[in-house]
Amino acid sequence: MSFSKTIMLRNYDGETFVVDEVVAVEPQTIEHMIEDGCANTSIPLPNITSKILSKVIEHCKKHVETPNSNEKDAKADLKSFDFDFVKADQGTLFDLILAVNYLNIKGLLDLIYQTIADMIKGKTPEEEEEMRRVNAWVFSCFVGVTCLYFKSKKI
Amino acid sequence: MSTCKFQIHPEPLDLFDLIPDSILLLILNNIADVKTLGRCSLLSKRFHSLVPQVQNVLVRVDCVISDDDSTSSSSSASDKSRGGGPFSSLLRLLVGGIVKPIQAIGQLLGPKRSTILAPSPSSALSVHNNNTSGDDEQHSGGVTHHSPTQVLKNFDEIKFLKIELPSGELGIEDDVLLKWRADFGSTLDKCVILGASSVIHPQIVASGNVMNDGGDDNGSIPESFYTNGGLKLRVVWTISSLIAASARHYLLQPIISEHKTLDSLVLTDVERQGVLCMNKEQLEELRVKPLSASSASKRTLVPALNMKLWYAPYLELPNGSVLKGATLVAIRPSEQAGQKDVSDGSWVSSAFEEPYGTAARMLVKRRTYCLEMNSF
Repeated sequence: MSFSKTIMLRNYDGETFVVDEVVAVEPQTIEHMIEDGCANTSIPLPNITSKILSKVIEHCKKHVETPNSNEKDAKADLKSFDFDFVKADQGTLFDLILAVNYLNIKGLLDLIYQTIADMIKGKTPEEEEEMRRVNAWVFSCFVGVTCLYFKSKKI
Repeated sequence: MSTCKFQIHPEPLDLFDLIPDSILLLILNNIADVKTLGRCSLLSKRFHSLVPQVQNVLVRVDCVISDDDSTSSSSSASDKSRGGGPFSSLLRLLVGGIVKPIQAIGQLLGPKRSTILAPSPSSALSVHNNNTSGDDEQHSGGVTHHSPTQVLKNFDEIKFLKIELPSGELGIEDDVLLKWRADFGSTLDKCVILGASSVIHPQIVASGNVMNDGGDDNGSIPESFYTNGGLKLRVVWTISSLIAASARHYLLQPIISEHKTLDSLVLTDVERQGVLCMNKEQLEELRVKPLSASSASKRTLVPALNMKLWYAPYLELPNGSVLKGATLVAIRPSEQAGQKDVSDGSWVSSAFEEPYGTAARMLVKRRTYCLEMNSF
């Protein structure tokens, strides 16, 4: 086992997390901090709770450890990991977004944006009806679109 | 919460309050679907102000209304009316009356209003409309109709626009393969068409078949190209694809002139029968130099063309499918012939997604036949 450098992350709750450097540089923010030489003792992340930070580290670890091959198994495994990862409750998801945005982890960010977008897209008509009633004061000419048509010539 | 349901908390904490506008905007860009974005703009003033800033928009059209339908809904009266000569009569003129019936677009859907199929879930909503056609908005059966142009007026900064028609315009038999991809500026820039008189899928192909013949290089197109109305068929494919493409291009004008921030515009259909693309330079060209319309019908004039054709009577693809009578046509305006390096075939082989990209790459290696066509 080769000796690998570790980085200490100190978060909002005062807890410290020790991670391998290779995992720690997944977040670009931390990578830049290390490059700039600010990581001699521990890296402070005052705006991130332990719960969220440990989730983020878990994700980074998984992605670093999975070999970057085009092998189907590896990809499928990663995909199912990601799928389970975002099954968190909404509060966690939103907290994650802020943390991941600060840390600047592109892959994870895209994953979360997509997840939330999909949640919004998957509304049933009843839920939409409720939304509309609650916010009936909002006027928009395309709010009520239910059918988009396109005029075209017969071919 | 076992299901990820989004709930509104008008009084208690709204989770979206936790995130800044820039992130919310990124999420909205991920949503892209214009109907969902419309519903989002209902949620709060904040959403209402952010939705118009979305740059990545996808418009899924539910139904196509035939131009010749004189009983079109009044909400469409504000759009330019688009009558036009039927395509089928043009075909009859060109190929002497023996034409495969091309399905009228109007037949693609049932009734012209009310119970229209919207594939996506639709609820009966009444609409407060700040459009001038105001109260005469269609409410038949609780379904309101809007055109993409109207709907897109609500966005100010669209960069990437994709419009998806419910199906291709060209009615073809099940077995037949026909795909086109066209790039337009203010006129046709290039077009690639791939067709096959029949497609046999991997499971059905028997083993030990005739090999891919490399031996038809005796200087002329193989006989199979001409038999069974093969030549006529290919002319029909080419012309109908070009007409479909130029008709789509014509209809995009109001959208393009209104949305000056566009970087990319794609008009496709669910089956991906035809894809029309315009990039930033091409869009700008159309704004600066308006298109010429074809005299008889509402479509862009197609200029005089140089065409290259490749043919294989039997083409076996790596995935096991077989294309019989495979034909690839690469089309460019005659004017361009001197300007660009015409031997660079990359635009031809990259026109289609797999497995058809591979089919195109295989076909271009064969003997090239050159043709010309007048403008129409």
